[in-house]
Amino acid sequence: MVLIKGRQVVADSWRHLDDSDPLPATGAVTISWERWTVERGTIARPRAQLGLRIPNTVTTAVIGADADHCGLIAVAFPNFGDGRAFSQARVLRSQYGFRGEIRATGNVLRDQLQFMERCGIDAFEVPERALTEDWLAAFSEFDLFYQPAADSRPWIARQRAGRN
Amino acid sequence: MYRYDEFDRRFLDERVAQYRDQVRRRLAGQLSEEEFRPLRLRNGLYLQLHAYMYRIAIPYGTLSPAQLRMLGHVARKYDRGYGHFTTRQNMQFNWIKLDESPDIMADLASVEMHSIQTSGNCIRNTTSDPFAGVADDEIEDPRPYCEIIRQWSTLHPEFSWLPRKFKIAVSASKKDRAAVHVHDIGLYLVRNAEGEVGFQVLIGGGLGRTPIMAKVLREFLPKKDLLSYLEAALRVYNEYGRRDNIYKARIKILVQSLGIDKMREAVDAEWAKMDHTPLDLDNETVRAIIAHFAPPAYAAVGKDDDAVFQAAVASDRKFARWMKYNVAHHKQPGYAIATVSLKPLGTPPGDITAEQLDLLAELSETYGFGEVRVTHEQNVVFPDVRRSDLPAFYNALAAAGLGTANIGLASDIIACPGLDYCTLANARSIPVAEKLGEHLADREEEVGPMKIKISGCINACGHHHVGHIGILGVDKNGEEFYQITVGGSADEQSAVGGIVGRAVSSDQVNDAVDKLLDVYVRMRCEGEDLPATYRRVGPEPFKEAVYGAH
Amino acid sequence: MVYRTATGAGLPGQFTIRAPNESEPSAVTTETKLYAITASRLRDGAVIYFAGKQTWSVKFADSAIAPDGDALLAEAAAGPPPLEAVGAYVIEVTQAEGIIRPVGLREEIRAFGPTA
Repeated sequence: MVLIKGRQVVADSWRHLDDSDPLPATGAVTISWERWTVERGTIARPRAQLGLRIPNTVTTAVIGADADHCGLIAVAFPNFGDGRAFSQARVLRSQYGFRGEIRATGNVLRDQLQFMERCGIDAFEVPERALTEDWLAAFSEFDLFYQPAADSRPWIARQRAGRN
Repeated sequence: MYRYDEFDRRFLDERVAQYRDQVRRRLAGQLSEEEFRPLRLRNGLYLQLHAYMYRIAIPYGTLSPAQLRMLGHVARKYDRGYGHFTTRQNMQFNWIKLDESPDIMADLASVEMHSIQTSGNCIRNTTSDPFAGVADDEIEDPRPYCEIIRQWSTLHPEFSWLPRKFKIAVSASKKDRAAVHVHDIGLYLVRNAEGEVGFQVLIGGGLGRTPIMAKVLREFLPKKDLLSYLEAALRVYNEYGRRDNIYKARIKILVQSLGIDKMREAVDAEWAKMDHTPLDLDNETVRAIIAHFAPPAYAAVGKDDDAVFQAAVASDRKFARWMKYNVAHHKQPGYAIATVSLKPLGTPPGDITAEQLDLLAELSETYGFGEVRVTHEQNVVFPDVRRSDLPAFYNALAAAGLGTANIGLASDIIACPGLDYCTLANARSIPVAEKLGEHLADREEEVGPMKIKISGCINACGHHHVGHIGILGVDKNGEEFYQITVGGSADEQSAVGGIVGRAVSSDQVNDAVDKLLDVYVRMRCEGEDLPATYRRVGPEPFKEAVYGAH
Repeated sequence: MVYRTATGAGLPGQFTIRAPNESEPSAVTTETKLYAITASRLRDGAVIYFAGKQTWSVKFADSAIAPDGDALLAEAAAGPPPLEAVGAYVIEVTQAEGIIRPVGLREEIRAFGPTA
């Protein structure tokens, strides 16, 4: 896997624990949502060191309530046609004010990157073999948008009204 | 009609460039078919039985002369000289090459057309009343709201990978000409007790395998809330709609399983959590869009207008018949709404040649204000014809084989492309429609208003469930059979037709339909259409007529 | 893999679509079922048939046919050019007097074009 963040390939600074791995005393780790729901009472960790990997079946209201505890939320695209995580990310940003990293995992298509970014996803796990130079170009294929989203980009109706 | 500004144009150029690159990557082997398929589908390109099929969006059915000519150009240059209007006010070309498709898209962009979201599990082209803006019974022109929805839904980042496709229709008349009840979301412009105009919101309608009529989600939605409320409904669907079974993934199944009350609670709860402000429609924005749809400069009624027209009716029997069936009342005195039938006997319903497209373009400039509308019944409406021009207009149509006077009659059949073109189909639709239309032509005036709808498979693109008589093609051990339903209706009285009995073979279809029509003609009361008679007398007389007593 | 390529008969113009209630053509067909491989051509969506030796043809009559459809499909999938054929699958065919025909209306329409 390769990680794209800030529209460039970066090293992953997070360790992704299996449910059976012991929780290290320090360091940035992600754990599964299932583990979190069982062990949450015993996990005391700075936000910047805790990430949650959530299935796309958990409703946004439930995740949103816990978003304060973590610095990273990894959302899942089990296949590229399953778009539930677009809503999860958008709601986390727009309704719960989540400011940590939202990372797309699973079957992430190059041609979905800009949509994902607009919904508030800012990091993308991509299979190494799939990554080519033009992946990074995908973020800027459009510079005009017809609707507001979780990003701060201007949208057309506002631009028309001269209000950006 | 809506004209693009610099933003719309630049946006579309960006889309064409993106698609061109996607096709390039596919042809170079950088994208697998599995990866490419959803990308081409979102641009309206299907791989069908004989070639690629390209579906072009006609927003709420409206076309300008330049757009008509461009469709003619596409038919000539990239296809086999003809195209096909669909039951969702779109146009399809059946013989398209993948490597030429980016060029077609660029050609279309030059006349402010595209194929974005004409397929795929996303928000599709918004449809509307083909008489919008000229109907005498509408509260307000629905087209500006269709355009607002079109823009908002175009490449919506959150709702482009929904459980299934999502269709929205908007209408503003008591008489429903847009089949609003069979859409995922249907919007009626209505006036509340205070006299304010807003939307009645319907949800969960659809045909296909499980035909369901939409239910009322909200009796009155203020206009300014249109987009935020749609967004709340779509989010609930994206989150809770089923994804484990393609046949249960439409929002109608979610509404059915939750119940309309729970669905309403869920949408209202989401709506309450959202910040509406960014999506609120302010008056200025709405006014700017409405300005695009301002009524044309109608001429005053001339003192000889009526005489010209009456003389033609009296002297030309064919014209008189065309007047009777193809011409509707216009809200402006001295004008008429004329429908051009794309159902000449013995031809595929909705097909049109490049030459006919060119002719319609020319006629729309001569006899109108440069605008036509495509209907979901696969015909073309000229919304603004001066009554005194009707004889000349008719003669021009008739000379080009477009003078068929059968709108709303039994030979005005709607049909999907069926097994002759479509990979999903189980049986052919076009030959059945052609033969049935020819067979019924002699008695259609005696029968009166009649809607016959044919689908080649359960996906119901031919809307068979809501035909007064519906015909569904099925496959039995490799042979085509046709299941017949009766009593369906797509108007404001919307209803799903009842199955008459076991499916019949293709050579029995004409006879079975004849027998159903016999029952209707014999049993109807004054002014009753077939669904009304069916509601009153029940299914038995119809069943008995086709299958005998049992 | 042993396959036979049909002779050049069975051209589009010679074939008529049967009405559904007419019986199969009564010509004697081989006892074992025979299969061919069809797909859509990537660049234009044209119907193509695997013609053996890593080639595809737009003519149904060029189809390589064999009693083992799966093996034929594997052979078709193995050969270059890898991009040409999209969605390849096995179809049943009949052979009588050297003329092969597809089985089923859908494949007849794919092979010989729309009926209306």
